[in-house]
Amino acid sequence: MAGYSYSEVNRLDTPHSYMYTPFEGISFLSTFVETRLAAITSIEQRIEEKYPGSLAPVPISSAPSSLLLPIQMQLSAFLIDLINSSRPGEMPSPQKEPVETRDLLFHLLHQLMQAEPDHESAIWLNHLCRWFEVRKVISTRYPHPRRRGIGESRDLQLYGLAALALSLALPHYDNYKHLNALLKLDDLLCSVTGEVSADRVAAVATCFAIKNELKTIELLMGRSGIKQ
Amino acid sequence: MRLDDIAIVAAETNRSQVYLQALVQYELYPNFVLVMVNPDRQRRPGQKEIESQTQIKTTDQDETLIEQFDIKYNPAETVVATLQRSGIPYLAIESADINSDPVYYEITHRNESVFIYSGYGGGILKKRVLSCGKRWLHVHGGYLPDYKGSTTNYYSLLRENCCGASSLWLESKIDAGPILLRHKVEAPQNRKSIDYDFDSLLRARVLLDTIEGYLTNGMNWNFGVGVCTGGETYYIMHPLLRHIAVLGDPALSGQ
Repeated sequence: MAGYSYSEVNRLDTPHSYMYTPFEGISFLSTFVETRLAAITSIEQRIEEKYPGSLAPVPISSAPSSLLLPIQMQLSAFLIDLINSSRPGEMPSPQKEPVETRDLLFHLLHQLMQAEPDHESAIWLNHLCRWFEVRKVISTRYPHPRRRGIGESRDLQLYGLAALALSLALPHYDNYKHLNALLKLDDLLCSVTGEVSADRVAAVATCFAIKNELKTIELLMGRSGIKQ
Repeated sequence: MRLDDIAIVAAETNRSQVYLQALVQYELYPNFVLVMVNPDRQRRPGQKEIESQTQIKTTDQDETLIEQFDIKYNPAETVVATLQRSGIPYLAIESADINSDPVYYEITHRNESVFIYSGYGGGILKKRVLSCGKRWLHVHGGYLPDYKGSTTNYYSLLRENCCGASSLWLESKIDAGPILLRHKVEAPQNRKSIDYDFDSLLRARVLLDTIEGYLTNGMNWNFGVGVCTGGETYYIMHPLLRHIAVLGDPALSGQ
């Protein structure tokens, strides 16, 4: 299998700029899918050993009126319980308030599991995309939604949960910006599968983010008339 | 016609080639061109590989679209060659950075008040250059304000099977300056060349029409669409999505 360079090296240490990437033809799509599947397999094997049952999928409903991306997204019971039990207080105002990233992500995940997420979720998702797209890291805290993050930026739980949030956003918003950021986040997570596998939350979130991403890509390719 | 008050900062890129050849074709001669030459001679963003420059495979529909732009383009003619054959005064400077001291010096010692920016891909004008007393005209590769940011024509390909270009004044906030003119066109059948030839030709068409507007308006820049509020800002497209955009059936795009 030809290499998928975007996950070949540790992207936490060496972020990819994605500028002027080469066109590699239709075989690139297969390479991408194979690399993603290999990453999922690698993580799943390690997690099932340590935490059996963590990865059993549970379908969740997407927006009932959405004809944009009629995909049945998936989570695991472990994640659903975690999201329901971890959501603290009210969603912060996306116009101005500082956020603890972990709290924000659990808010978002809770909203995105609903049939119709609230209005603030769409704004926060845009902030999340911008944070990662501009700096290629996710920090533990953002003093203001439009400012650089502060604190630790190597917590893989946050990357896994962010990827999961973006994957669950796809059927609600059909927004290529979300998918674009998700693809880059998943590249990063696939470049550090060893470290991801060491944390149950990061590992399970990553697996489901990638599975939901692949479903979306399969649908897009079908819509575009691309046959591999 | 000599455009006494207009200069260009160019680079040896496909886009600068097309801009200058188009301007010369329409007998619109900038007063001066500063050509940024890459000192390390490595290929920079916006430069095609030499071997692919001379042959562009196009379908019949692509030829129609290129005729629609009405620009004759010779990919083998360098920027400097165009300037020499047309007698446009120029200076080649060994710097690839628009924000470098040597480039800043040359710009600020020119009398022209309007500079067209056509540097290497990814170059962003910093505050010192933006506020040096010149007005910076740029042609963005996307239909503003709907498609701000980067690789925007690939997003509009996926969403609407179209490409766009917009001329605007550069300000510190990216893609937020007042829009002068914009075009939206159907995407070409052969999408592989969008990054270079098709995109450059479309931008050159917008540039030509913008300068025609300036001349028609009595050499006055007070025309155009105006403020550039709203829209979406897009980030560099992931190669997977770009492959889908390029490989997708044009008849099915935008669904």
